[in-house]
Amino acid sequence: MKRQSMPPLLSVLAIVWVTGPALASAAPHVTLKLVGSHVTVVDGHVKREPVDGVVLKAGDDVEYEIVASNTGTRPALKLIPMARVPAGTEYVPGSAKGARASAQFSVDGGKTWSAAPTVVEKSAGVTVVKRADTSLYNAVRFVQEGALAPGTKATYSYEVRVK
Amino acid sequence: MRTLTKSLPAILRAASAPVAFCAAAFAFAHGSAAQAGTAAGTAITNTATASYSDGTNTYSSQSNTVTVTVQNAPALIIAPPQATPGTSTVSPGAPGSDVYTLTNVGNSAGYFQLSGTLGTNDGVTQGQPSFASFTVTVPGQSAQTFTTVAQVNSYLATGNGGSPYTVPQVVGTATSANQITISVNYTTSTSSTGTFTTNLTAAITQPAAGSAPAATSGTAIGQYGDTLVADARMDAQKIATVGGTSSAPTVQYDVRFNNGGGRAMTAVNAASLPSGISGAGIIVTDKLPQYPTGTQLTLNGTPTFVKQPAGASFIYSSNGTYWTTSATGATYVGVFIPASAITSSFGASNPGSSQGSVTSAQAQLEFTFLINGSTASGAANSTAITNVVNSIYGDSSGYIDGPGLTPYSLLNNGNTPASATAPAIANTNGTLTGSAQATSAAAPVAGSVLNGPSGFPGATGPDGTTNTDYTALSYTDGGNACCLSATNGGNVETVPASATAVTFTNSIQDTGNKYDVYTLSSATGSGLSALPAGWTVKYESPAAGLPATANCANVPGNTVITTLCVESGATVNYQTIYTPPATATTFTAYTPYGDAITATSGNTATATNITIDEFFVGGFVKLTKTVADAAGTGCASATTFVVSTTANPGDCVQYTITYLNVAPTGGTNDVTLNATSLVITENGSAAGTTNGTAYTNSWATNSGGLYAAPVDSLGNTLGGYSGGTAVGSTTFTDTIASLAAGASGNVTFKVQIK
Repeated sequence: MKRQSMPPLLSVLAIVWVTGPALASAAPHVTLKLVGSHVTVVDGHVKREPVDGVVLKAGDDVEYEIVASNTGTRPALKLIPMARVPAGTEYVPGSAKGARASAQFSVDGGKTWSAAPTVVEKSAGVTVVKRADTSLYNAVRFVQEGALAPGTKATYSYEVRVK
Repeated sequence: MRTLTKSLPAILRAASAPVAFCAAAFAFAHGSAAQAGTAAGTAITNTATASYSDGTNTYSSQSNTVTVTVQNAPALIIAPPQATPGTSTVSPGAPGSDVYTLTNVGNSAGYFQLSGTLGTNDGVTQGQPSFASFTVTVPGQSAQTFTTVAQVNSYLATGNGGSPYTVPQVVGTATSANQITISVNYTTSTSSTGTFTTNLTAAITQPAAGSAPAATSGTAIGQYGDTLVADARMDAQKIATVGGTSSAPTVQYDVRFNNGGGRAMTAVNAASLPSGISGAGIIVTDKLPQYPTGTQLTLNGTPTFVKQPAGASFIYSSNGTYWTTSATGATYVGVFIPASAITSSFGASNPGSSQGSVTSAQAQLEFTFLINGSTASGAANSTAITNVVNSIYGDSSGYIDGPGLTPYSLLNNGNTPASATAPAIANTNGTLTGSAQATSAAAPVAGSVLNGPSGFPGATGPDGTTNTDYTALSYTDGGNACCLSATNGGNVETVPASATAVTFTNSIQDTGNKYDVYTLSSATGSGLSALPAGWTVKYESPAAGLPATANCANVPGNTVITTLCVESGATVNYQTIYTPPATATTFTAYTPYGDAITATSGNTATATNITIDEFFVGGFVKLTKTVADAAGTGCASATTFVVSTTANPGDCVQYTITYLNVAPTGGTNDVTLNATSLVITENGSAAGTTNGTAYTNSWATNSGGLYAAPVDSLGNTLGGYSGGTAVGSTTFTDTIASLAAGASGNVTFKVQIK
């Protein structure tokens, strides 16, 4: 896999595809807010505390909540929020949630997505396709059903565990 | 942030750059499945993106970034853990070590620290062994040894130039770089038994990293459950059997070895064995004895295996340091058991034997060999020769053992030179572990004895044999002069009641090859007169006593004895004492009285020897006076004299005084009576009484005195003439300076009857 730093690539994307703010007045406008929470269980109750800037240790669970708000004038169609399972963490199985949205995962850096990604293993000349372990997930996305109407918001969440 | 884009799938399909972006965006999230933890201080950032459409155009949006910093998560593993303790087998008396491996399984580098108290949490926590030290080895550093927990912790926390020795955390598979080792070293005594436990309790501290503060893990506990088992022990037994004849003696040795310990025996590294032996193995060595000291006994033939470990072979040496397979000139015989044979023969203990006691059934090695014995004095003594067999072997504790070697002092690692194990070969104490000894005679017993005069047990008598030697004494009642002159014409002597005893000193020599206890007995000797009734004979030790020797006990002075212990080849004196009764007894003068004293060997009853003790009462120089007459002839012309007790006036009468030393003669080194300063006095008018018998000389009155000077047949000194000259003198003396036993002479003088 070819790796490059992000800022230059983002710049390239901006040059090639961005058409400019002139379209904004008659278009959906989805803003994203990412909230991280430290999830603990205290006396049987789940407790969430903001994690931004907080020091955590291995084994701690972090819930990422993505809030998508359509502040535009038209519905946002085919809304697909996505985020990473950051290095140093691993996805907590079954934690991805979103109203009217289905979660998909990638084990190859976003090239392919599936609700249950697979990996190919070769052993003794035999190729085996098997379901990938959730620890291999490195990205999560949510495929929103329908449109996100103007003035509305949708919330998606998933948890990772610090390794 | 909103950006008009193509659809995300299109982006992913259309250009490598977006793919690269996504890949770049996600790649770091994956990491290694084997990674143990995210490094402390790592900032985990996350940003959400979204794509959407208005039906015609595709837009994207990006969220804020959430950052999480990973804290220190120190953790360690100690192997073996307390839950599944390790095990070690240690032998009593041997030092031991339990090695613990501490691995950093946290999420950053950290340094280890011991926790708790020595003896409770660390070190030897149960059982008899004594804690000795900790040996700490950190990556890249030489091992360090400490005796306290505090010292260990100081070294780990500040030993690196004031900083801790940090060890990186495991990433993937643990390597030695992620670990330190701490050995718990302990000592055991030779009496240590049972089981014991060692523990190591430790934690790891990860220093502060970025915004992540320093943190220390909880403690982990390692443990060993160890067992004390006696190490390999070479038991040996040696049996000697004396054979052959006293003139061609032999001794056969049967030598047996067995591993009677509780653990396996191991091969000694070749570098630690004497030169000439190639390869690792076990050796047993046997130095042939000397007898007497300085005289080396030799092999007779070659040794034979009774029980031969596979591959074992005989080896020989003339000096103990260089060994060969040739028996020529050998003063050592041994066996080399190669390493390949040890597994089947000595690799396992074979209980039941003990030091000095190995039966043939127990033996893992047994061989015999024959040596030529000795014909020297004392060779038949049961302790004449002690032959020690030794061994050099490896134990299960990693050391070299052998008699005379300090246990657990010589490492069996190839660095111990042969000179360090040489004392085992030279050992002469067969009671040490790994050795055995057989003390025996060097020849069959052959008793023999010589009994003779004081200082000369081998004296010979008149017939040239050692059975007729003699000791002659003159009895004088202890100087009381009881019997200096004879009565009844010099034929009868009377010894007063309770007179002084007669004491002879004799010598006896053990000419056999073993110390002997001789029985003394007396009988009237041939040619001797029996002592008068009432006289008794006894034997006593010398006045100075007989000091103890190797085989004979001390005998105080003047102790009555009937037997006499003598070391082979030695000579001792004893007294033969004749004691008169409490009544007077009479003896015939000039007659030898006494006994033949026989010494009989206790080893060989047929071995006897006689010496003769005889004494004379009343002196041992006998004077006999005769008279002869030249009838009708004066002294001027008289040449023929006829023994007569009558004479006529004018006749020349000749007196002859014969002196004879009646003491025995002949032989060599006997003790006899030689007279000295003998003075014969002739007085022609002497009169007196001797022992009640009156006598009167009258030739002075009835003659004109000496007609001429007397004549001594041996030329002795004449003198003592009355008037100063011989002619006419009525007295004279004959002075005999010495008269040897058996010698005689005479003095003659003439007078002419008036």
